[in-house]
Amino acid sequence: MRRVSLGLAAVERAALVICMTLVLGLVLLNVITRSLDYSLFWVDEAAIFAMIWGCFIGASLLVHQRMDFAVTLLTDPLPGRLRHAARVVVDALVLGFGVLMLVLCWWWFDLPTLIASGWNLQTFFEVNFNGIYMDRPTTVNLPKWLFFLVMPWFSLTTTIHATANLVEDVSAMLSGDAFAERQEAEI
Amino acid sequence: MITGIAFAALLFIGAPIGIVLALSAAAYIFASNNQVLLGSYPIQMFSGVENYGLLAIPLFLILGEVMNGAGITTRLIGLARAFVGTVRGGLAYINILSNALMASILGSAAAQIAIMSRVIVPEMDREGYDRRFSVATTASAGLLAPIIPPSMMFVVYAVLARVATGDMFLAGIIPGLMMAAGFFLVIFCVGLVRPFPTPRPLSWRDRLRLLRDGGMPLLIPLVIIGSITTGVATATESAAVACVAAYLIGRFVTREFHDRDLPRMLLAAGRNAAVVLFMVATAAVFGWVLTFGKVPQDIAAWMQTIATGPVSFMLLVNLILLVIGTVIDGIPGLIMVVPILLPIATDIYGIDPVHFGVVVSINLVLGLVSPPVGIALFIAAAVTKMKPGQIFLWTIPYCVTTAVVLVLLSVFPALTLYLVR
Repeated sequence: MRRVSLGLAAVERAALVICMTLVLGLVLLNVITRSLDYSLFWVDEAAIFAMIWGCFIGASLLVHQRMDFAVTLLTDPLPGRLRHAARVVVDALVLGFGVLMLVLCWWWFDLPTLIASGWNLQTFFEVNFNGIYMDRPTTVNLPKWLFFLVMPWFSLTTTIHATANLVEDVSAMLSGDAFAERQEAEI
Repeated sequence: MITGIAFAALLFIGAPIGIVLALSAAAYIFASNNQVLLGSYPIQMFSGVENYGLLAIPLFLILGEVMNGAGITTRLIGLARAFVGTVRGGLAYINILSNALMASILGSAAAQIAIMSRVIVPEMDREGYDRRFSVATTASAGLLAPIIPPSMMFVVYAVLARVATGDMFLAGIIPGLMMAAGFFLVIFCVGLVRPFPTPRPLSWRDRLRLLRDGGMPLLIPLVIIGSITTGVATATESAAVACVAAYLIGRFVTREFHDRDLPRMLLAAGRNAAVVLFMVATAAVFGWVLTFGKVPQDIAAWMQTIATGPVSFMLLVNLILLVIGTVIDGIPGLIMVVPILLPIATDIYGIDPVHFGVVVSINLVLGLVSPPVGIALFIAAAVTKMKPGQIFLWTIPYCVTTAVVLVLLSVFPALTLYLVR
């Protein structure tokens, strides 16, 4: 499981660098084109979508790296075994969140109904009043569900990373080994 | 009630704050039997970060990385040295001044404190300053970062409160200068009690060299302010323009910037941006559920029994936040308290949301140096290999000064709103 998580993290790192490049590039493009009186109206919204993808891909990477803001005021002074147990509970909670998100995204994208509707988006909407496939961004000329895809991807990768963390921490606790260190967030 | 218990349990067991917010919202939905809300849960999270103003967060983080790579930080300290010169206690004043200059470029206290502790504390060691004083001064001066614009805290607040980022930036100028002036006063008073070492002489030739080297990096805050005021860029876009300026300076003036480091810088900025943005996303779900559960109304009813007017309300908020700030500070604290307190401040007490944002931000910033959870204190201590406890006592005069500024701002809203209007 750790190997899958490591491989995914490498993909996420590359994707995050691309997202940040897009955010910076698109915002600069907007400044340049506007000062040339040739504004591209879709650029701002595209930059926002690049940031959102970066946000959720980065958030999943943070789970892999165990690097996030947390209040460890009560858990830090605990004796070794109890502190390890708290860590395992946190791993399980993150996994629970990942699984919850997976289920909710499955309901949201509702593939079975989409297939039953013969891939007809209008029929899909009339059946369950779910506008996911009808929704369009204000300026970017693409269906919005393409951008929403980051949510199931985030749910899946978070679940994988959290499972790898949980497996690692439970086996470390059973064998009495030290835990992988938690990293400090730097904001 | 169940949401509150779930929230406290998740928070204190050490779960990441984003997960605490998301799972507490889910707990409320299940406990209140409102499963229908689950259908909107992922889209609420997505929409929580679908906001133009938030683009400033990754952009300012990229700017910080590029500036650091370009060797601009050390030159800004040199510039402050050229201004302050050989005054007794000069390096301590330089510390505050260069932090104020850095704050006008960076928006993050932790990033600034990490950089400055590495650069200026060894300098102060060499001149014979008490290390506890040097580290405490550096950590406290780092608190200017989230107040003197640009500020990531203000960007997050502007998004949560739906006010203009530019207004928040303007409103931070006077309070930031008040804090810097207060910190100068603290150094002056400390110098009276424990005379500072005599500084190394600085010839006019050296002074001119420092001014020349530091002049170029000073262009960056000017680019930020200039691009906003001339209308070339918005407050958000100004960070991207400043990135280009920092890159050009690093590449062609200081010649310390290497293109091969760019992916590493983008990754570091992206990861740190994700920390904040994910909390904003989950806070959107949390805030949505709180509103649905009428939680702000319940808290408002309680507060109205204690606070009779806007001033007493602000003082009460300060007191509550000082306590909260000891455990949760900075942006996470902001994300948690704003959805609850802001509607009460604006709707019931008629407080200006911009003014409220500045006061809340300064208050939560104070928590960055207060134990038991003071990120600024920990970072400064870790970088300089000191114990946080050794430094904390020396940060008290700076904390008291910030608290005085806070009370002044709470009582006189004009201090924050003067430049906005």
